[in-house]
Amino acid sequence: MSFLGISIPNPLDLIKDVENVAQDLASGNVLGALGDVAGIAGGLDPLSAMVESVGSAIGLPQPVLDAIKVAGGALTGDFNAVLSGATDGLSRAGGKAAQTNYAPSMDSSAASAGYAPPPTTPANSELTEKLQALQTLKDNFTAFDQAVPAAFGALGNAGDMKIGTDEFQYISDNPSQYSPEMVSAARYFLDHPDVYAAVGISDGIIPAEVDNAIASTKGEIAYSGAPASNCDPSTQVDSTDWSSSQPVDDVSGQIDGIINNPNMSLEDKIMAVLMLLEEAAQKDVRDDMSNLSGAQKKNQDAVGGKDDKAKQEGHDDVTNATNQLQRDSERLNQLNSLMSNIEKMFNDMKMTAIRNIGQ
Amino acid sequence: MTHVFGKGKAMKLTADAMKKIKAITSGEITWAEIGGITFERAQQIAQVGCDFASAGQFDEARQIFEGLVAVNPKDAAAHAALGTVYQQLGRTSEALAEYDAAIAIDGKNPVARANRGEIRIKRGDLKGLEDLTQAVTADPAGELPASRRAQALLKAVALAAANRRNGTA
Repeated sequence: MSFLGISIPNPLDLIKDVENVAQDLASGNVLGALGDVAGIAGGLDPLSAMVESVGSAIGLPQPVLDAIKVAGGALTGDFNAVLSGATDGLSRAGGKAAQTNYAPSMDSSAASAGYAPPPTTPANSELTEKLQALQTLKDNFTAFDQAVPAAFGALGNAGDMKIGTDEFQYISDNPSQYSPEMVSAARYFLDHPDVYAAVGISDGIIPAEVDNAIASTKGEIAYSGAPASNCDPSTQVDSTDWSSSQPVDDVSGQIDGIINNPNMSLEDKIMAVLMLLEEAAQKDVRDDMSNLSGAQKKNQDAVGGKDDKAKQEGHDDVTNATNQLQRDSERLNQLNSLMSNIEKMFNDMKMTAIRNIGQ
Repeated sequence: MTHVFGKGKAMKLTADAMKKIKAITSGEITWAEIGGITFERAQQIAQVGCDFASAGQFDEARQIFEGLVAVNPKDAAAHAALGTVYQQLGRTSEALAEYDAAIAIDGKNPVARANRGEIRIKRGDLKGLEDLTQAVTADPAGELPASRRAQALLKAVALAAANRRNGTA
């Protein structure tokens, strides 16, 4: 039985049909279900050709094209009523409108465009190696614990659920008896006595300590991937002293310093660079005013003379200088407005965070 | 070398620094790249925004997604999410602008397609059908609520049309 009115002997009303549609959607065969519509699509309306051409251009599946044609067929009469009926029914069948989702592209390079690449610092690689060693130790704890044969007597302490350097050394010296992961892990702990000391207790490593170390290392990796954010007021400002009158050549590379400063938060970087842009714009306006003044003086001199060409040039110079001043003044105003808005946005975000903490 | 003056201060910008400023203002590089914000970090921030929105705290969600769009205007998903928040706040024209921006970056973004399609359809604009079909084809399995709604809406429109033609609606 089709859910579409025409093939149902006793057609349901629209709302009921839409609810059926929703159930049909839940089965997952959306395009196939839409294909049911195709049978009534032929030669319905003048929009078909348009839909066909547009749809083909954008690569729509045929069942979807047919569905649109059917919808378009209703345009012969009261299209708004059709749409209204559909959307009203949808409010019951299709869930909430404009549900907020962050849905990045499946193409990872497109999705991450405009973002900083993941950190691949040596420190991060080292943490990853540490995590792998700890994970291998956890997954193979019993094998590690029983690594030293009983023949080694007290040295082995096999099966005591504690692992010491003897076990690691034995595994490292007998790699053919163990998996490559275990050998790598054993050698890692031998090469990193600081890690062993941090994970182990006085007479060896126990499972609970390994779990704690894994959790801690995961946290370190996550932290190392986060952008630097420092709320200490003493370190928030770049080493540059913005208020001091420094010699011109001493502040070369200010932007580089701001952008690459790991101690500045993103907000500080944005505001600092915007300040530089604002100051550059102010300088441009001052230059424009100076140019305008010069042009006006030149024009006055020309007006008093008899050279028509000089008069025209003087007039043009004043016009051009005035236009430039207007453009740069407008740019400065826009920049001031942008700074004000961004500052307000940051303040709002901070206030929201504070309010949320207080709840 | 460009000289920059202001408020009694004096400084000089290197050519490289000016190049970077121009790159920022022209959109070649983003604040996210400068600030070291990774895509993974952005996803975490976006999740907070989505949580706010689902709790009905749209003003807080708006601030978060406006921030994401500001630090990376190339993020289609952030534009689309911001559009949904504007839509919930009744700021439909701004929502449409965000959906337009999202689609300009990623023509297959199902959230932007589905919601723009619905707004257009409610306005009697046939282009909405194209948006809805794009949302359906971008997410045929209906993994996202937006595309599921697009599927339902598309079918509902087809159904309504069929019913109307056959005198049942």
